[in-house]
Amino acid sequence: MKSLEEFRSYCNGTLQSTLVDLEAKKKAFNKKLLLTFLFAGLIVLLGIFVHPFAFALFIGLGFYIYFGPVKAYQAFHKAFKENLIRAIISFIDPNLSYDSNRCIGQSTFEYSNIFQDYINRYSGDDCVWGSIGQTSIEFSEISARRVEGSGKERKEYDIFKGLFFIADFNKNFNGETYVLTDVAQSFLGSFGQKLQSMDFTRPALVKLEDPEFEKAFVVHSSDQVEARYILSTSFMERMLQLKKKMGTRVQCSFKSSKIFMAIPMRKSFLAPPVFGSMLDLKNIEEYFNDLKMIIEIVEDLNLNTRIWSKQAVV
Amino acid sequence: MLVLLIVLGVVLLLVIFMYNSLVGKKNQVENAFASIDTMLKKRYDLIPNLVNTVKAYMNHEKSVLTEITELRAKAVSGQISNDEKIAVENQLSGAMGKIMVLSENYPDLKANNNFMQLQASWNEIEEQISASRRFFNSAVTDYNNAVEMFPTSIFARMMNYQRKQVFVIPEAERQNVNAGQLFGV
Repeated sequence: MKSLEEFRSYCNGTLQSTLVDLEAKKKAFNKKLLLTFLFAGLIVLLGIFVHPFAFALFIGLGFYIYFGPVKAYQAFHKAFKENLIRAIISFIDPNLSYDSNRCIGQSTFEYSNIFQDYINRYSGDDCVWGSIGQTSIEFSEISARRVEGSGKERKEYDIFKGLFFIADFNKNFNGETYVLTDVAQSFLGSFGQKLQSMDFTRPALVKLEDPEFEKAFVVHSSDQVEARYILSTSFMERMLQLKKKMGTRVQCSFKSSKIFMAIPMRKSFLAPPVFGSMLDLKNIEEYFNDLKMIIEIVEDLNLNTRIWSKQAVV
Repeated sequence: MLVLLIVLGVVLLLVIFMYNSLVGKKNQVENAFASIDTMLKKRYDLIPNLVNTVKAYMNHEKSVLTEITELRAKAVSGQISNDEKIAVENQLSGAMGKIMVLSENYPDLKANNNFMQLQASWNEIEEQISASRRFFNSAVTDYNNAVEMFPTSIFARMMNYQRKQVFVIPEAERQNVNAGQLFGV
């Protein structure tokens, strides 16, 4: 995996012209945004004195917003994704493909069964796929919500917002195993565990030996032996490390010999900055680090170790 | 009167629940033990294939290979007690581990496709055996907790349920190099 130092020199070399171009596009957008505010301010001021004139200006403002800042932002956004993000991804690994508009399908997301809630608003972007060593991976940003009622009765429920990651697992298995965030046990101890065993929406509870892992996660599986085959002692350790590294509630499911992972994120993944400069390397490094952290999951979970009978499907 | 009936009903339900959970836990232990057996059988099926493939290459390791064949014959004969069986299994693991380590000295063997596949299957089955042992231990712990904890302990005594032993890996096997450790798994 490429290091941050290598990335810095890549930014200063090959990527330099892209960054300069992006900075120009961003400045154009910022300028037009500023003009919009000035324009709007002027209308408010004029509106107080000459009423009919202000109305005409108001329509003018509408036109300006569309052809000015909106168009400028679209141009910047497109160049940001196509020229910068795409370049960073192929810098990390040339075997990876990227589509800024695509996302992992809703059916796949629901198939993973990490979240059981009903979803009626599903969207996402920034899909990356390909293979890292012998392991094929795919991930994208996903937002899954449910909207109920309309008008004043309208209620919105966030089911998941963050990154959804799928990788081919290095061991074969037939059943389904879920590694979910443990809420009940961490608050209620063994009584919580009792409650978990009565969760009929999931397969049977699996009690594992690692107390730290048990505190962090609750495991359900359709096959007790298989669950322990997947979650070997070293894999449990790796999962805990990964959770610490991500600093968030990572949840997984293991189905059809694949691992599905939901990583919630507060900020938008790979979103272009509105203010910070594109020429400031610190801002660019953040994208590199975010992407690298996700792609590194393959190494973190040791998925390229193919010493079992399952070989890579390439 | 009604209150008394309700109380009696609740008590009866609790008794049934505790009795059933004890029986369920005992059965879970048996089920887990059977799962180890299934995995071990899979391993027995694999051994002759491995020994045959390896034999052609390993000229200096004949004694280990004969030992493996003998141990396997002993294990599948079905004429040994459970304790003996565990001992034989442990020896078998140790001997096979040795073969895997020694295979490093035979580049031709290591490059053999058939051997590579068998080695992968071996690692898989070893990991599955370890998984089923862990399942067994967790089932036994669950069962032992129920047998010793109040109030299920009262029923356990009445039903004559005894504590069961968890699987302990013998010191010798722990020190043996096993195939999985070689690959840092």
